Amino acid sequence: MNNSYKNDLTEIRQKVKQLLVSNLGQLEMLDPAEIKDDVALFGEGLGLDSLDALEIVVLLQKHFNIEIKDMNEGREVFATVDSLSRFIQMNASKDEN
Amino acid sequence: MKIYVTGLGLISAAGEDEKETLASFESGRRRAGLVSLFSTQIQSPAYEVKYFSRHHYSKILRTLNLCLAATEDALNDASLMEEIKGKRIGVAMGTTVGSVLNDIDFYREFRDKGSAPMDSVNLYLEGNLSSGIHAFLETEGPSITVVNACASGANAIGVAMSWLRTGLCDIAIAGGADELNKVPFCGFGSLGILSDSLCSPFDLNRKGLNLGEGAGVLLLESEQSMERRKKKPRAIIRGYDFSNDAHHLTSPDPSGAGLERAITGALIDANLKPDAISFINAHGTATIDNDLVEARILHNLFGSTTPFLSTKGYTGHTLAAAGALEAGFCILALEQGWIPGCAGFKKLDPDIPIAPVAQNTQIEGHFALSTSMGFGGCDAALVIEFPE
Amino acid sequence: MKPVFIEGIGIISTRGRGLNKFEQALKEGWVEPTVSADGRKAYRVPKDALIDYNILKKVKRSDRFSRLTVFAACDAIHNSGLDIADLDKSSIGIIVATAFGPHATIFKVLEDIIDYGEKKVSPTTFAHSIHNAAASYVASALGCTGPVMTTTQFYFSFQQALLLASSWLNEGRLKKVLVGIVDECSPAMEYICEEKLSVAQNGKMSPLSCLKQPKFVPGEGSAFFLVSHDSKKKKYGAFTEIEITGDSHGWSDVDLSIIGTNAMGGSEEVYKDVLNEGIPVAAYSSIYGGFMTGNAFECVAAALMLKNQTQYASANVDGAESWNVVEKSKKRELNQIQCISHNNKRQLAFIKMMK
Repeated sequence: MNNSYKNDLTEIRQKVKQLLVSNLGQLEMLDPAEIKDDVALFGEGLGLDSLDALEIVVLLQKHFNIEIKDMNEGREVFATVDSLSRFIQMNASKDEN
Repeated sequence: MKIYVTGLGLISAAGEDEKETLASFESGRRRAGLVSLFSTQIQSPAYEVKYFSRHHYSKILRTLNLCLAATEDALNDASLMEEIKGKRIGVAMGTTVGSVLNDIDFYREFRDKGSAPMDSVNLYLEGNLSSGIHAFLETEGPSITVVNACASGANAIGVAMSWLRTGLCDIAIAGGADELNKVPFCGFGSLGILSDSLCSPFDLNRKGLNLGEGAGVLLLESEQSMERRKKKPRAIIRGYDFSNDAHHLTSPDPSGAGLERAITGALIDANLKPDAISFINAHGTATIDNDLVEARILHNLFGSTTPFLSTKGYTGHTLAAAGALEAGFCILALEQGWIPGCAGFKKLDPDIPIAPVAQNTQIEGHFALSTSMGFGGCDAALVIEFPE
Repeated sequence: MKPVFIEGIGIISTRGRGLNKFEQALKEGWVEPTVSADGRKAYRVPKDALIDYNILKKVKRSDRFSRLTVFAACDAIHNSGLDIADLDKSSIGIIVATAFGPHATIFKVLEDIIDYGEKKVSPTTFAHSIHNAAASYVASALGCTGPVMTTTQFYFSFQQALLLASSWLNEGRLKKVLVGIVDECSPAMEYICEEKLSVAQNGKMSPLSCLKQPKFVPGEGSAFFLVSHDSKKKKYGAFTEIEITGDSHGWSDVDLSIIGTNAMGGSEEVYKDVLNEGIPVAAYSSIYGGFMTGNAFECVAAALMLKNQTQYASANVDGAESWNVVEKSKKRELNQIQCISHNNKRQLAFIKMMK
């Protein structure tokens, strides 16, 4: 991952949306472009649940080499596409898988 | 209709027989350690059946091997081993690992080369538990392998009860078996419910479950069959029911309604009120969600005076074997008059309204309840009676 | 056995979703199997059979195996004329029988372990790789809180499940049971079939030839029956007898025998023990392929024939000896039909059905 990509939040957001739609069955009927950056991923928003949260943990490992060790940390990070993307931007250090 | 237990076979990390199991319960011995059956990077203690030596059934899946050994013990206990051949009996066995073709090397080779040796496929095709037991014993009769995740063992006992009650057979072998296997080890890891230390059911600091392995087998008979054989029962399965949460693939319904239905149904089936229950062997896996939901329902139904425990601290979570092993542990406890302390439990979680027994505890009365819960929203309950 | 009446049926086969499509397939007879990208022949369920937003919104995230299960189960309820909203949800039991379970999803878990390592297995995929995930989706889609059970045998899965359903009804545990089967194809399983069995390169299975080394074409699909003891709710006749292994040679008072193809069961010579010049015999498995739980499809065919009082021509009569083979489709009085299947130990199982 080069620096320009690493810093480009817009690009990370797009990638996050694509990853969510293609890996979370709950969202399979959505077009990634339909997902707003600030919509809540869980509960009232997109309706994701605890199993999806675990899936996001593994997606972060697989695609960004980021490990979430504490799910309490995950709770805030996984709030929206935007919060998730900012977290990735801050933590992505190694090459993508 | 009462169903009688005339034989038991119990194999787990707590012990390969009843004596060894009771010794573990008595001393609080917890035989968990690093996984030795396969290589793994996942750090979580496992309860292996370490010194399992009865491998005289060669070239079969470990799960079926454990199941056959426990079946043999149950048949010997019931004095039936010598006369079972050619008889019509029912076999209902629960499993998770024994039902899947999950050989990593086979799949890797198939994917990379387009072909792979059939050895593991052949083992799998010969590994169906109930068919395998019928084949080994040369018996015929109803045969079902229950794959209801972690409630399978209890559900298999329920299936055999249905057969006996409706006259499809008058002797049935029922229970469950699972080996410690890499694939569910990774899977449970990915679900974030494996603890990196010894499991602590119902404890404030519980961090998840430890996997185990084993087999629990009960020899069940109708009253007529038992009388014909002039055999005394070790226990009576008085009641059984099961229900589904219809809620979530992996999480229990937070309301616990399904478990409550199963327990209430089993008590109705047994024609007993909750206060008749001497103690409860809870599913108690030591995951955050399971223990919270389960303890709340036990509190709702039984108040705070009925002693309860989880035996997972002695065996790990043996998946489909759990319900059957724990039904067997209930029988041992009723016979002995005491239950072991809930190994791993130290400090009560303020969100959990009742505490399990921390020490070995005397029990009075004749009735035990055993609960099982599994992925897919499965809830099952068995009421077990110690005969007068 | 107390008659177990059929209130509704749902089926998904290589010819699509629904009883009408299956009936049409019985009328049309044999067609070429589908061919996969890697050139393997199999009777696979087409993609469009598993698209239905009304059901999918209830089972988001489900894998293909679960969808095969849920669609056929929901269809059996609809077919009975019941509305899902009106079901007495605690008095219906569900039994899903399968030989191989969601093995394609299990292989995906293995793929994660191989490609990404032990700590990066998708939890969602793992959750779906457990055999009872599909039944759990059925319970959720229907809101059923009664007993839900998944069972697995390689041989006679459907017969054993039906026997359990009958026990549950006899015990008075439940008023109705939704009992059915599901099995799926996958590249790895088709490869295994190729290694273990002799695949019919011309795409034609011929169980009526009772060969020692029969040729197969793998199949897949799902079928569910909503059953009860309530004769007034009967829509497709009833299951009246089940004989599994033992010494039974079936029944001589039936109007038709249907034999199945129990892929992996090997030799079909054992059918010779029960076929003769008397009772008309038919086989339809060459329409939907051979799979271990496929005997439920023969029961669907029998139920349709009993309802319509019409016999359908046997799908492939190649190699039949002097049996009384049903060669033509025609209206005919049919009171009882038996469906016969075999295992790998030269044993037979029979299901008897009544008008």
